[in-house]
Amino acid sequence: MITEVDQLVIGCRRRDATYHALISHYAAAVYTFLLHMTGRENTDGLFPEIWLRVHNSAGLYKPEGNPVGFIFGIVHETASGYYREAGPGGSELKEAIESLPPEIRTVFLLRHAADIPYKMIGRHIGLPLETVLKRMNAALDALKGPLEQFRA
Amino acid sequence: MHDNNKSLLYASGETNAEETAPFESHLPDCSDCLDRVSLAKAVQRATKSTLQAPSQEVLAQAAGLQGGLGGSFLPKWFRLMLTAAAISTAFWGVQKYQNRKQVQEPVAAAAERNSLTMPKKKAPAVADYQLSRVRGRSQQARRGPSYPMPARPLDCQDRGSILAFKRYSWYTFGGGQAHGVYSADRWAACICKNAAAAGRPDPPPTNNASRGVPPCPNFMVGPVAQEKRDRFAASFLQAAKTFHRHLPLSRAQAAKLTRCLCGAIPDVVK
Repeated sequence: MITEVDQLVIGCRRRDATYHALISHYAAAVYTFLLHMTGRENTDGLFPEIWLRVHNSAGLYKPEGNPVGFIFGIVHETASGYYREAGPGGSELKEAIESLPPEIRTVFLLRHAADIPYKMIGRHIGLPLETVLKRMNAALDALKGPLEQFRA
Repeated sequence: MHDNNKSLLYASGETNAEETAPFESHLPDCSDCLDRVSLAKAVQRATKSTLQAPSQEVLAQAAGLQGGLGGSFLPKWFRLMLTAAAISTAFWGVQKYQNRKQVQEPVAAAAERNSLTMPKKKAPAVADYQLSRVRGRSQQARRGPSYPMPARPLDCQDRGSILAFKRYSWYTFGGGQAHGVYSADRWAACICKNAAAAGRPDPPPTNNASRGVPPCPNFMVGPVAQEKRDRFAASFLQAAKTFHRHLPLSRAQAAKLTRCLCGAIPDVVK
């Protein structure tokens, strides 16, 4: 079944309004992912570059695929050269997230900023599900302290 | 038995009915599983609070970038008119070109047209040369500050050559804007494995008449029919020619860059 978001991806090359709607739909998730992975200094430059690549690659998108995975595949591919080890200041949680090793941070942010299911993450970054879950467990262990305040 | 992986899948709703029932019956007796599920749910709540939207300026930049390809700032009727004018001019030009070709070089052309090798540029006739000089001056005036093309081909062993390539492609195709450096980095990495180690060049001057990146042919998976393959090859060659013409690359390097950006030319179904 073709979803509404599928249609946004398919139609973004034909109509500017659709392209803008697609950007608005994922702007926060993509921007947050970039911010935690590449730092403020790269994020503002990479963000437009990524959407231009999404626009140019939209012809390759299979309508019944996974639009989030398609977009974040491009995000991961474009930004991977700019992943940095640790970010400066911010809230305790932000600092803890940015102190995670890049491979663990990628899995964590793909699941929680981009809301991609674990099984899809494995498919998109070419890892078995067990490895994805192992990295997620490592992330949770590292974030236990700052997360205490969010526990129900 | 305590299983962290299953707890994560359960917390994110990715277990099926067969897995969920036994896990839920096990959950009250397992404090570790309860702890992991509660931690995973806390993460979901916490990351929602850290989601950050880009500034209006960055959003506008992203939304406007494809304008270079599609022209979002022009009214639709004007774009349609431009398209119609472009098509009719192209049609007229092709007809004129074919007529001239039939008269001047009827035999040699066919082989060259059908081959996939990039034709070498012929020296222009004196009249053409003078015309091109005049045209060159007016284009230069529109483009802004002059920026000479570095020596070709790109030498992957020479850091200076890589930096010069990055800076020139940033100027020519990225207009010297901040986001253009990412394409320049990627393109250099397509040609030279060590391009990332060369670092980044100083920003080039702003270029108000930057070129659009040549579009890739429609993606094709696996072997395709001859006709489709020819269409792909023609479009691929066009992109490679554009890179060769406007960047300090050899023909082989231009083809390598195009392959990297657009994928290899597909095989023909046997």
